[in-house]
Amino acid sequence: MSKENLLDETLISKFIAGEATPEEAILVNDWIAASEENKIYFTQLEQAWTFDKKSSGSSLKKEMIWSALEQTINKTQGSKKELSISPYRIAAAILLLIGFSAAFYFFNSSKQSPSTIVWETRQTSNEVAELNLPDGSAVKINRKSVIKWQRKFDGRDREILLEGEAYFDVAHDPGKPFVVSTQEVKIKVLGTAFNILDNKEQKEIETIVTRGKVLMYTRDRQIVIEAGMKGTYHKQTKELTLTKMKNSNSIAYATHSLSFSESTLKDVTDQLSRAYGVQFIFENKKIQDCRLTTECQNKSLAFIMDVISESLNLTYTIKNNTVYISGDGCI
Amino acid sequence: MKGKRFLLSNQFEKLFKESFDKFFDGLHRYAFTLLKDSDKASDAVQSIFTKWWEMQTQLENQDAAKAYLYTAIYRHCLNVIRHEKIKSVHSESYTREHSVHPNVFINPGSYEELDHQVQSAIESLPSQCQLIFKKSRLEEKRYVEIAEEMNLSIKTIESQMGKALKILRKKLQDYI
Repeated sequence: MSKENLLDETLISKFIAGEATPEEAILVNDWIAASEENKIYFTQLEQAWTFDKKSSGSSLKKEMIWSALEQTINKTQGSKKELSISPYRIAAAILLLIGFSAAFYFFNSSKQSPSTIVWETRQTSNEVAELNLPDGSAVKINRKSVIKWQRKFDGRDREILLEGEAYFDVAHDPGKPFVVSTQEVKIKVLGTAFNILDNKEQKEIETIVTRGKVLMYTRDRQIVIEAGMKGTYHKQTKELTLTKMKNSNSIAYATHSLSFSESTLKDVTDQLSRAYGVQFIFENKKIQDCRLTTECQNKSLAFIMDVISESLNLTYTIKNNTVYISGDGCI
Repeated sequence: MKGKRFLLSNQFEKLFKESFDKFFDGLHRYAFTLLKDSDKASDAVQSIFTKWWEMQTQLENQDAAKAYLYTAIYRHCLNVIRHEKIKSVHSESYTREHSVHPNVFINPGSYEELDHQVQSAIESLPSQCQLIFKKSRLEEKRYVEIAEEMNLSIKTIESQMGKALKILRKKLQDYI
């Protein structure tokens, strides 16, 4: 045993006799792994215990167990694909132009996974969080979402993994593509701002662009989505389609920008509910059909409720993230 | 929150695979010391990794994974031992057929059957050291039990056992 090593026979024997705590076992195993000399010494002590040449080590077993584990892994991954019908909705708000040729580079580059990359995680529960990425990009993370990013963005891409919804304001860096990955679709941009949204009620993935352009792509398909358009990935057919967007209310959690045109109060409160993380309770359900036209930019919920109450002749109270609405309104 | 997991499964899978590769030997070795059986040790390792995969427990890095896995294997092995004990209480014949230490160890109960070389090596140990070693190795007693029986501290048992193995290693080096 090497002199500089602090481990002695007492601890090793304790381990061999099956008396070691997990922490002690780690110490012993680290010591064994530290040098060939240590390993030989350990084996000799172990043999002095077993009275036998047989040793506990087994590289063959390692392979056998790994292949057994691989079956478990493949099985669960199979069922994960079934589960993943749960939808993603990806909205891109502000984007710069992306060259078409870049698309072919995307898939290759996103495959890299250098072992040195350290991943950071931010998860939200019932709040919208803001954070700055290492490249100066800013992110607003909607409720019940999680994003992961490389601590220093030292990979070939600025790679982001997202589950849920987030609004990205991306710093321009043409040399380092900014990629947000969802299960089946990726969004790649070269310096822009966009929003990605995971809407569990839908069976598709949507990308909404309010400014600029974004490329939405899968392994063998791609579409360019321009401002005011929405790209949709249909999970069952694996097709990508384009439609025109009426408004960007769905990303109001990040922008606090809402516009309604002859919308029912029900529609309005549904959007407010999403944007501000509150629920609405109506004393008289009939007033949900009242119609409303209004626009608000970066206003507080109380301000918007004041406007609505004023125009529809309602009263409201806000208590613990619940808005109670009473009055007969337009009826 | 199943959905939350699979998107991030790339890193999970990476850490899972790396940890298996890196910690398998140590975990197997540890399980072996607790269960005294190589096959059971393998089963134990497989079962904690399977459980980790199924639970998708998110761990920050390899150090966290290491601490998690060692604690898991420890608990798992203690459970296995507890079950073996319950089984042996319920069925004596079962214990005879599926002894806790069936194949790797020379049957600890039969000192007389041990090779002469091994016997004389054990006999050569200082008396207290010898007694402790026999209780641990041949009677399969825990350090705590031995300490209690002999009215000694566990520290003493630990150091006497260390001494015993150190001496035996030297005596048996050429023989084993």
